[in-house]
Amino acid sequence: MSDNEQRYVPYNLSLIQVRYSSESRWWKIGNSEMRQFYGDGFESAEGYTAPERIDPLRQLHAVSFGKSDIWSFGCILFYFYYGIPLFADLDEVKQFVKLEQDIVMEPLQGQRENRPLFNWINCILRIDYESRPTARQRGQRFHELLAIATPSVEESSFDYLDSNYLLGTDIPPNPVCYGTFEGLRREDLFRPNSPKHRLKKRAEQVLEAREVLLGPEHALTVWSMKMLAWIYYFEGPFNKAVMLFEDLVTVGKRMYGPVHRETLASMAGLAWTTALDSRNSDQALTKFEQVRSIQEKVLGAKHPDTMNTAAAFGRAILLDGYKAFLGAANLEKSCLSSKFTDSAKMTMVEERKRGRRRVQQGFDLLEETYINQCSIIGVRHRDTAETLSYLAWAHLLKGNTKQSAQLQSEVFAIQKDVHGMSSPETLCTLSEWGWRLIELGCPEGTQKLEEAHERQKIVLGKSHHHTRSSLEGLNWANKLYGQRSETQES
Amino acid sequence: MRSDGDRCNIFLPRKRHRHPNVVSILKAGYLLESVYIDIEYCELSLDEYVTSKKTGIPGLPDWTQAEVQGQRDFIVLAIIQQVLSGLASIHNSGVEHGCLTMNNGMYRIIYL
Repeated sequence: MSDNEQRYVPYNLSLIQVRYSSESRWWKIGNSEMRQFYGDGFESAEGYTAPERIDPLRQLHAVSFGKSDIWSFGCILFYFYYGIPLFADLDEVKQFVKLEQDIVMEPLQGQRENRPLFNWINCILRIDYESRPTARQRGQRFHELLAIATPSVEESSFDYLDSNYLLGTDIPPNPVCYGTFEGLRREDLFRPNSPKHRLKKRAEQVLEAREVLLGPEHALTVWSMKMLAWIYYFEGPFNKAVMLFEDLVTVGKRMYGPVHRETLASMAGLAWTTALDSRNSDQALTKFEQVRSIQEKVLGAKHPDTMNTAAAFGRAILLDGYKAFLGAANLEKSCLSSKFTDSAKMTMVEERKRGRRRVQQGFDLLEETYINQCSIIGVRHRDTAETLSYLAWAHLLKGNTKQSAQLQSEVFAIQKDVHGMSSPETLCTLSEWGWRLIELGCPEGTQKLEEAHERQKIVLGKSHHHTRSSLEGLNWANKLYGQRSETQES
Repeated sequence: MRSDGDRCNIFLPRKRHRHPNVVSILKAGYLLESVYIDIEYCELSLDEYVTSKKTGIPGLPDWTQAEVQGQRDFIVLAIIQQVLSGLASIHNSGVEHGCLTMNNGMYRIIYL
């Protein structure tokens, strides 16, 4: 057995279910006249020629434009799956194969069965050319299988497959990797009534297609799930993001093991989405603890993934503290009503204490993470800047507005370099910086908010919550400084 | 080409067929007693690729390497798609291939 043969799947006629009949016609594979004319160069066509091209009687009546090419294409598919040509192992006489029914390809023993794909293939090798589909029909159906809508098969959109992947990149870099998303900018994710809706739809389609074609436990399918989970996280529905992260953890544990980097990243994603649900704060913090401890053991404390989880953990603790403050503030409001009792007052005090404790915990963790990130990935890295922005928030919750504004200005400088001025993150930071300056009584905050708002209207749209937040700040600043200026004038 | 007595009439598309998965015919004619067809250069056939007769093509994962890396399914899907795309394109132009085989196809961009 040659080297080439060893690489192939063993050929077994009984599995392939090619039907033979003694009563059927002999089908001649290849055209001897043409071979005589062209010499040996034409022999390669043997085994790929459609029945209606071989049978002289059929040739007379055949009006099957393009159908014989599809038969040849089916032979190529056969070769791909079983590893040898359809009519291999046949000597000169046996090349005249008798077929009584269409060729049906079935999954080999031990191979994963992909029924929709086999149904798609088995329409191609039909003896009756009239019932055989055309290339266009098969192409369109192929796209339906892949859940990619293409208006016309000859368009370049047909080449949706990611060239980066084919060029040997191990993991596609972002959700736009699959080619279907080409042309969509990162900002589109955040913009309402924009291609982001198309993005979500296509991400769903690609996931569905990959589940059908590649199976649920394929690296690319898992990647699609992860991307879709993050798109749901940004776009909603939020509960779908949580469900997908739960699925990702389950699949990751089965595919890669419980302590694999991918599984841990999914667990961190699940913990963060859980943290955003106000009812499950404790559950989320427990999950973060688990992921972080495993990552520290497996990847090391200073691995970028571990540091990212630590930063997210710190943010989740801050969020919990913030919720405690909010709860206390609500109780304080009810102080005005007659229902305010001593027990409610005690609860309010406890909530405030818990909030302060949580904020301090989060601050400590974020500070430690920030120092580690500065030493490992550098100050001017997007993750480091993100941690710094959380630190700014922690300062705000601690009541250090001035320190918070200072940190926001640093974050803005970094993000402006890293993401660019029109990035949603940069604009959000600019808006936050404006808020802090106004809180400190600096009129410059108005300019920051104005600039952020104008750009956010273009990049994110008017109805985005970041845009509305900067508008709210701007209105507040105008009201505040307008009143002051009126007082000064009077 | 069609045999027409002693001389061959060469039928070519009126304009060059442009599709990423179809080899273009640049020129055709007679050279002394022979007929020549000048086409785009194809460095690798599909058969050579899947039998690993040619490896190390820049920008193209080897067939065996693709299996190890779990990219085989993905690459097969790419091939299926590109062959169909090219076929649909030439059929749309009123041309039939007539001799589609593994030796006439090239991977990365499949040429027909």
